[in-house]
Amino acid sequence: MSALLELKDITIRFGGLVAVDGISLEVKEGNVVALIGPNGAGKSTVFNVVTGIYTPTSGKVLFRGEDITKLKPYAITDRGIARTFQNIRLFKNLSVLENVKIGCHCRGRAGIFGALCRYSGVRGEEKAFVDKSLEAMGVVDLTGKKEELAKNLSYGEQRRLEIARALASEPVLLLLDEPAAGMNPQEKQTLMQMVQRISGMGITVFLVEHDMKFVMSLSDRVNVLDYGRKIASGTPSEVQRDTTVIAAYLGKEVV
Amino acid sequence: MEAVMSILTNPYYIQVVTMVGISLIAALGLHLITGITGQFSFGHAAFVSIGAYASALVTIHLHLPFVLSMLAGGLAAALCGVLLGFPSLRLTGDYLGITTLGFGEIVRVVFINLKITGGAGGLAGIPRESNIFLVYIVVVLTIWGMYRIQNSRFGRALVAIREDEIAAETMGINPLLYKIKAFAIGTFVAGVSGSLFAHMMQYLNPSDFGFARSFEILNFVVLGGLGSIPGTILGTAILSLAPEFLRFVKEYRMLIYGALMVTMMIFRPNGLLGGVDVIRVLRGYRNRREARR
Repeated sequence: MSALLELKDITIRFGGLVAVDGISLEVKEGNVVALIGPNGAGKSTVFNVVTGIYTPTSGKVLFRGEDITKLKPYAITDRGIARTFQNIRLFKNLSVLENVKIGCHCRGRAGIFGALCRYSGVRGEEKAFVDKSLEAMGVVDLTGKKEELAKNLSYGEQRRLEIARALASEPVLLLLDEPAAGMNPQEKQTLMQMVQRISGMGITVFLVEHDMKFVMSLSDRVNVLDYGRKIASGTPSEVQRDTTVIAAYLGKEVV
Repeated sequence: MEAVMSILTNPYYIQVVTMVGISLIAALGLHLITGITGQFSFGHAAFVSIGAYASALVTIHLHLPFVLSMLAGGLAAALCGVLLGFPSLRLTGDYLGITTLGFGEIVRVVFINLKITGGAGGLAGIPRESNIFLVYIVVVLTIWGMYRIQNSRFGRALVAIREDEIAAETMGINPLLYKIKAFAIGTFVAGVSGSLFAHMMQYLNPSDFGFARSFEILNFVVLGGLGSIPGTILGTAILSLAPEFLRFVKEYRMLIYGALMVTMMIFRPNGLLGGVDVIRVLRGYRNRREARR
């Protein structure tokens, strides 16, 4: 299998601070790949580079062989990369269904003229949006809450809504930024099943997570960052035995 | 009966009600820009004035039928809206507000100094083409258009930008492009409102379109409830009619008007109908009534 997403020697500096320092990594099609590391290691920054929110100081991001380094976030979504956010960014005052329908945006065409005239093509597109949204909500078990306002959902439900919204854009690659943060063990268990379900749908998953049990049981490959550098990568069991990883998490004295 | 008829045919009342309609059209344009897309514009009256002058000049010099000069007014305002939007809609919040405020003043000063617009003396001799019926036909069309826009893919993208611009962008929405489109429609509607105004008053003066007027239109939208069409209608009606109803208190009129606004903001900080989904409330009411049967 070829690499779906490839990061080549990515460096990003904010003034004097080097947040990410020469990282290269690959995400293979069909895999669940994790990115782990202590707080401030640069994991979210890597996600922001991939989704076009930051432009790296140097280095390249390749998606299906195409250079997407300098593309805007909306153009990257259009090419099939969707994401969720670590600090939930829902459209709070809109209903669950509306949130997910906005996720369908880049797969539609209707514009101002369509809005005013609402000819049959536009009505068909709207209906397809609703169907697709309900399907995405079904994946994360939110169908029963479709009329609820996003801000009234529980924390775990809000995280799942973010996933549904991202799924609605029909991604090839789904980026999950700490999907299990703040969830209780039971919620984490259901979330794990959902990620497996998404992976089973043929969507490649790239995730940042702190919960090791979650990461180790889900991922095909794990990449470890520390102070903006990649210190290890491999299968979960390889990474768990890696001495540099243990040192990064527990301190050098332990090793 | 006779009393009712005399009120209905009273030219003063007709004038007031027509003016409410004209203001409402302008306010609905700003509703799309500020209420739906979340972009502050403190220069909306400038777009009204561009529409007013453009359509008046088209009527006077080209003798076009009124519908065409109304379109010309709208298009002129929209063109200026897009030209202003390109550089300034990259800014957000306060910065955008200040830019639009500055633009509004520039437009006013330009109209004061241009020969073709009659300068500070104003532009007179505009034929009276608009009337209460025409104004309210445009009002209904605008409300209908705004509802359609809000319940569409395009409208959802605008709301997404208001709610969270970064999240909207990662959902595949190009924020700048959509903000400019919203600005174009909003300013077009403002221009149409201006042309109705011009052909109603038959006289235009730049001082009618200063920043005080811009803030007045913004008040209609904010006090009614940002993002709500019924709110915008209610806000415009109350705030336009209040000064008329308050005439009996004579010189204290504007004092009471101000106090009214302060009180409203304290008790309904989101506007009268802000955060109230009227359709949802009505549906809930109907459901409850059916449940009781």
